[in-house]
Amino acid sequence: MSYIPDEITLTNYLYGELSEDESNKVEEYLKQNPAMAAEIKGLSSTREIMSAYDDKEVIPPLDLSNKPKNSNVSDVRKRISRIMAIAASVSLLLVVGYFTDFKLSYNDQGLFIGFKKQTEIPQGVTLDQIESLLDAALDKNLAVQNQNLVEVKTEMQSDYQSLFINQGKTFETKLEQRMNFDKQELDRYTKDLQEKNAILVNDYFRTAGLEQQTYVKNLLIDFTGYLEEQRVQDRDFYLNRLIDLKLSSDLKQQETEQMLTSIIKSVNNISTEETTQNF
Amino acid sequence: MYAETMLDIAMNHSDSLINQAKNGDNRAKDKLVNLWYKRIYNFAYKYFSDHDEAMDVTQKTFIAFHEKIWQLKEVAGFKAWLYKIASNHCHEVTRQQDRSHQHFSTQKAEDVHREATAIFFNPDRKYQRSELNGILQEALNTLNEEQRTVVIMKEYEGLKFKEIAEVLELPENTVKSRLYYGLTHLKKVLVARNITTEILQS
Repeated sequence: MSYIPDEITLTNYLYGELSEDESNKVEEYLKQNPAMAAEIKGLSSTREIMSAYDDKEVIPPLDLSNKPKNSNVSDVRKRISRIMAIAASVSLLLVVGYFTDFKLSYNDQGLFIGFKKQTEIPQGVTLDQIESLLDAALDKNLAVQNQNLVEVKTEMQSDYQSLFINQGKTFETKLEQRMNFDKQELDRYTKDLQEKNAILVNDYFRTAGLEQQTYVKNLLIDFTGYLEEQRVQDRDFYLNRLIDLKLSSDLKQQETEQMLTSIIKSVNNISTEETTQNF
Repeated sequence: MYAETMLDIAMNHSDSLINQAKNGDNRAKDKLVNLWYKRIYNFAYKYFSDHDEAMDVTQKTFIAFHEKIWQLKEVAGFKAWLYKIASNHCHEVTRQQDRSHQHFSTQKAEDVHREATAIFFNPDRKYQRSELNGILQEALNTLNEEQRTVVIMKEYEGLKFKEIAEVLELPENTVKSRLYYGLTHLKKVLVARNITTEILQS
């Protein structure tokens, strides 16, 4: 036989996906090749064994739609947060610099870092004078700085208070909206569940009814078969009894006939003997 | 049995749900997640033989489902589309596993294999259901990734050859060929370990 099926055809055969003609050809080939037939039988058994592997139970989460997409997204968010923090720090420094009148400059006399307007240092002053000038300037600056800080603090406190109050109100409103929404969702879910249960129960009773109908029908068919069989058995029984009775009657008749014949013979013999004696 | 049948019916007749989900209906999406969660989890579990990996892939699959369902072209292709997402995530995780993790997995697999072998070579032993599951999972682990994916999709997830070919972007004949050699390998493993159909009957 020149026909040799390849593994694709054999897979199709194994999963019943061949046409009748092709299937017959494969079966013919397997009849003539017991080794390959055993191989296919083995593969079929393997499928049967592997199918015994049970599924594991798992509970679906309540809501997947709000979870973060993946770690990459959280990385991006972290990076954005970091940039925002740096930007906020720089902004804060600029604001503080603005309020404290921070100066940074470089000229022929050297690098100048300080607050408020640059003070001209008179030529030919002594070190003590420079120190006292610096102390005075620093004290003044410190006083201005403190005053500015108090102002900024007061302003920020008032901002925070108003922000806190506004956020509290917004949060309350959102919470109320969310609760209302959840209640509606719950109602809808309950209604949906009830409808689904009703359909399930309906389907169950319909299926159960059909199964019961089939069962009773089969039972009736079985019972009818039983009655028919019983009737045939009874008929055979009575027929056999009648035959037995007839045989018994025939026997009795034969016995009676024999007895009568015997009696007649005896009577005849006696009468013959009597006649002989009389003579 | 009855509940299983109803679930199967629901899974195979959820065209309207898929349409609603495509149009952005979150309730329909949640219902589809409930219907398919167990299937995708079990697909991933049989693939990795690890609960945490399976949970991770399942969650990623359904997050992608939530975000990309609107891209689904045909409702009839939903099943293949969903398994394609799951399969891609499984493949990605496998690819990302570093060498040390692979070494750990190999070590772990060898330990399981040793324990399983001790059980296999006792022909008179009666198997508990959970033991048998462990043995069959061990047999699946001996397949390479490509054959394992095809065997799981066909034998446990009931995908058609055409659907598997679509998921893996392969010709149907390649899928059939992989399945044939996968089953042949499993047969050898089960025979070598004395697992027969009689064990199932007992």
